[in-house]
Amino acid sequence: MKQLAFIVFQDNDNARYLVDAITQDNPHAEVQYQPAMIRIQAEKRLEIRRATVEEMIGREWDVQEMLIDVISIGGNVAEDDDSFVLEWKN
Amino acid sequence: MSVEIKTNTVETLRHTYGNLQRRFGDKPASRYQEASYDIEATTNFHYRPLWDPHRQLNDPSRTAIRMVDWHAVTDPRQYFYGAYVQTRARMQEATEHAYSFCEKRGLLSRLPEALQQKILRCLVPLRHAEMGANMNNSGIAGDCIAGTMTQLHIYQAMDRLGIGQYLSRIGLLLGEGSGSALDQAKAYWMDDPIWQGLRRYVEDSLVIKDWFELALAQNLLLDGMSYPLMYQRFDQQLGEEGAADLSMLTEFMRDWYAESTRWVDAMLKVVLAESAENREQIQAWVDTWEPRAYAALQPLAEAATGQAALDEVRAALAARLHKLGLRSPGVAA
Amino acid sequence: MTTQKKKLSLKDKYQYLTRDMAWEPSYQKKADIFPDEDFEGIKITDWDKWEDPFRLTMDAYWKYQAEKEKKLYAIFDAFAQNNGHQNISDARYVNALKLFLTGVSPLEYGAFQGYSRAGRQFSGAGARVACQMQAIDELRHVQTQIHAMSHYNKHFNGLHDFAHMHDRVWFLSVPKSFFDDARSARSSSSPPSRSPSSTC
Repeated sequence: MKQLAFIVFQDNDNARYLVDAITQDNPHAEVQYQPAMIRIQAEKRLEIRRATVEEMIGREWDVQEMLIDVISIGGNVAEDDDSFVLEWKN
Repeated sequence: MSVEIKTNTVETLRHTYGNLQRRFGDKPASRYQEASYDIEATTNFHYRPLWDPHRQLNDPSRTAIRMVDWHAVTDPRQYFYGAYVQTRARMQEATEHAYSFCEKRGLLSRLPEALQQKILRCLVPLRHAEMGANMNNSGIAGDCIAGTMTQLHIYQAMDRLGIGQYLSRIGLLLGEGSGSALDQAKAYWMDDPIWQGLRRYVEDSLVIKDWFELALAQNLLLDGMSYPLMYQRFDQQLGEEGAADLSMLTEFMRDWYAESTRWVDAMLKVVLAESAENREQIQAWVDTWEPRAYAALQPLAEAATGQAALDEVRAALAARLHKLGLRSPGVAA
Repeated sequence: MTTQKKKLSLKDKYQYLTRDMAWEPSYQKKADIFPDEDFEGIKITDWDKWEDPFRLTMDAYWKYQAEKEKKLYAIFDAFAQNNGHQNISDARYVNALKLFLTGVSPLEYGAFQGYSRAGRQFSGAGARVACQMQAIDELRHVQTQIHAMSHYNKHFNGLHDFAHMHDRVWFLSVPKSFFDDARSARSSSSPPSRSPSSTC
């Protein structure tokens, strides 16, 4: 049975960098464009890495900044200074 | 040559929501008004609360204070959620600079050992009193009536958590990044005689059932003395002793307190003006809790600022009470 | 305080900034301070085992939420100034809004009340703080919804007395019942939250 971890962002100028970073670090992820929203889902696990986002965005970036554009998430959360992980653990 | 560009104006059916039309007439309402008036359920509740089976879910009788309309109490700051977080974010930005600067330059760790000890012993344990204040205000937000009142108190609750966290960061700076200073501060809170008066007061406040009585005991009477005592008088004193650098880390608390007294006083003015019964009840509570708050702060004042400072802040609170039409049991009119 | 000490991990730092601010009372009985803990037979043996995965301290909360509100209210203003209500893709959307404001927005306020209560009653400080943050987020929801639909209310009927309707209209008794039920429970079963959209 499929266990999709997902994250949904507002479709705005800031979120494009997050989407780029996530697709780079999670090659198994699928991106769906919906009205005003971008949904990214992957089997079991999705990770946002600060280092990758910083590369894309061109400045220092705090993992907690993702809260500004996020709409919804699915999965158990593990957050630290360097990454934000959504994972179904079982 | 003139060019006419067509504009499109649309007439509205009404200028605001129905409840605001009834209260203020059919004109555009402020965001604060739209977000605060008449948004709370008042009738036809489907279940009685298991945690209070003799009352309704939203019930004005959870306090002895009676108001025809609790919406008569409004926030002079006009905080709805958006205005609240934006104001706090501006304060936070300045405060974060101060904490960063202090950490980078080691401003606290280069203070003489004795001064660091004094700050740790006399100021940092207040973080636990802030947890108590946070709990009390969250409880009041859950129990009280009317969107104007409930939101005042949840903002107050979150503010107290924020202040407790700033105090905790002072402890982390004193411990140079480890938790050892905070562990010590907690030991002071639990066992040091200078803190037992206040800890007892806080624990006593946690079992007060009437939410307005609690609001008085916490937001008016305790804070009304502890904040001026510890963030003004003690701050001054530490400055004279050479720890002026600490002040940048407590500026948030001073700014916050000045703001907080505005809405607390505004609330009291309205509630006191409502009826003689309210005035009598509130005076009775002041007579009970003001002396207890004073006594609770005495041992702390002894160690931090000296008794004279506590007596002066008590007198200042008395003046504030007099302005509201109340008597201070501790200070003659 | 000049001896070398181990620097705290993010996890431990957060614990000092939340759960460590609590203490074991001795002047009043714990059972009197938290009277609802044992009511429903759910036994929590160690509250410290639950950690909030979002380690948001209040300063970070204020900062990020303020940024969101700035952007959100700019959108509300622009929508109103441009008469956006004349440009929606399907007129039935407005009917959906009427159902939402009368049926759901009052529940957001009810959730705010319920979580405020849970934010006081849980004896675990980590759970309390999480509930309080949820409470203020729910308050945000009801207020942003009222503000978002304020413009529609000026141009369409059926939005003008949402709270009044919620308490009285027969089909709104269904959503009303759900949160009245949830709030009536004793604190150890906290009000249900919907999927984590509280950041929106």
